[in-house]
Amino acid sequence: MNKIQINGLNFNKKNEIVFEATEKNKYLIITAYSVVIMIASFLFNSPTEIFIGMRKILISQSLLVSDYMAVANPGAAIFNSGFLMLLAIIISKKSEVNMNGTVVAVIFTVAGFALFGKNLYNSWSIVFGVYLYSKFQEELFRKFLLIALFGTALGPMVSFISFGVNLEPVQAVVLGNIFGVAAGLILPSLAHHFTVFHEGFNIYNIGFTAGMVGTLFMSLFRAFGIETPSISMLAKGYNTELNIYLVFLFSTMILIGYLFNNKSFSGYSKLLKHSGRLVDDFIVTEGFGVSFINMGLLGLFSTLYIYIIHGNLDGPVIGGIFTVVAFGAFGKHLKNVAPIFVGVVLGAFLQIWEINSIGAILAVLFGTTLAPIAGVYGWKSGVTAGFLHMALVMNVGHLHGGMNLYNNGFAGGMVAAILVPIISNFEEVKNAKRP
Amino acid sequence: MQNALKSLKLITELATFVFKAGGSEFDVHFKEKDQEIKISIESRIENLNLSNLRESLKGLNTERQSEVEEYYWELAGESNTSEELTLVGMMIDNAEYSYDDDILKITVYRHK
Repeated sequence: MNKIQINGLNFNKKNEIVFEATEKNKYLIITAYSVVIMIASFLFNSPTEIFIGMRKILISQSLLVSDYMAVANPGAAIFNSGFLMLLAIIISKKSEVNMNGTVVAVIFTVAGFALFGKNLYNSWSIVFGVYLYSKFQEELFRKFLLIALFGTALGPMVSFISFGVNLEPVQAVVLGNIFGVAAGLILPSLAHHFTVFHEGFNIYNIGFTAGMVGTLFMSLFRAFGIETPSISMLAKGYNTELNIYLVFLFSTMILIGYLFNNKSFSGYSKLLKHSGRLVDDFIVTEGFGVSFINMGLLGLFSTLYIYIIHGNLDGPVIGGIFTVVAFGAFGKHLKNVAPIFVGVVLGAFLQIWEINSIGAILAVLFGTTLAPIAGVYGWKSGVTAGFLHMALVMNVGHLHGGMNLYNNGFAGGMVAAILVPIISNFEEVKNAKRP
Repeated sequence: MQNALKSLKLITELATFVFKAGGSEFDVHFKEKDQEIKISIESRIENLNLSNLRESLKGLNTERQSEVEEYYWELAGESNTSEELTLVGMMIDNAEYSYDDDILKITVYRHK
């Protein structure tokens, strides 16, 4: 098919637009999403309310679980989400990285967690710490971009020291940012090392890393008599509006994916054959279009699940859905995610938690960090992983005092580290016995 | 030092691939120059299916991604699933392979 270039758009001979997944177009699409999210915020609140809300978000302690929709208002939380997403895109562009699966994953993850814990104030010092590390190593910052952006999971530590400890305000702010820079400085040394602990079966690897770092800092705080408060601030009553918002976002993803996939859904069944074990970049291996279709389907699937169980749509839950969608470009698809859903739901049902409680909902959504276990070892192993995850994730938050936003990544790392060697050994014995 | 460790990971990964493909004996050649590292692995493996081989080695052609390399390089050589060759591809700049007279030869080049 011959293509003719006119004013940046490609047309074929039939004068139809040809959707090509060039880097420029990929950046354009992802940027458009951040802008749409920011615009959507004005459907929930007025600009003045959003401005006042943003100020509240910036000085919030942001510990788990602080829903910015409750701390401020839904509009401010959604605006914060789009704004941080846009900043992550700008940093990625400036770093000259390609818009591949990992970068798409980190950008949407930032957007998700900006609904309940990440903001401009508590993120910058961590990114700056990683930047200082790159200078210290005499390397380009782009090499550490993923660690820097994912590493903002420790943002609540910065906010808590700045606004939650009984210190003089200036001292507290300086100390909070020093801790943020310190976290950024140590994360790169640990992030790649901890991948080996779970052998790439915990997609939110930085969640485990940040969990360990958070545990270290929290232990030090407790040693000096500082304790984080138990927070559970959740917005209620916005299900209808938020359902429409989410369905719109994810439906358009499927449409955009369809257009970029030569106006077809072909290749999706091939994507479903991926195990999801790190490093499994769907955009690199299967293309941008199919990956976007996958992201949209995962988003609709997750939203439908919350609807069916009559769950409350709030900042953390939407953050969880966004994260499932984010990793639809890098490891997750319906086939390896479904067994984890079943396992966590089974866990919540048989254990002491209500299926539609916030803990169980977050465990279901974020528990999909263990999708590679189902992808590599099959659905039974996936269900087992989900079941164990439900129990473990409710136990580990105390260790880091809610300062690590990726609590499920922390728990998921432990589940994978325990479960994978056992399953692997049994598989080897089973295979050896086969004639 | 980290560059040397990364090279060892690449060697392990390529050796794992050869084992999985049915090789029981192989030679590894490693050469470090000022700007580049070259790793070759050669093994006699009979009756390899060419289209399967091409599909398996497709990951080596993945574009180098330094941000992914820095985050995930320790995973190379840690397991026997096919995703690792994509990771190898993200850690190298160029790859060549051939299969003639039952001899499989894979060579990868990595700029420092």
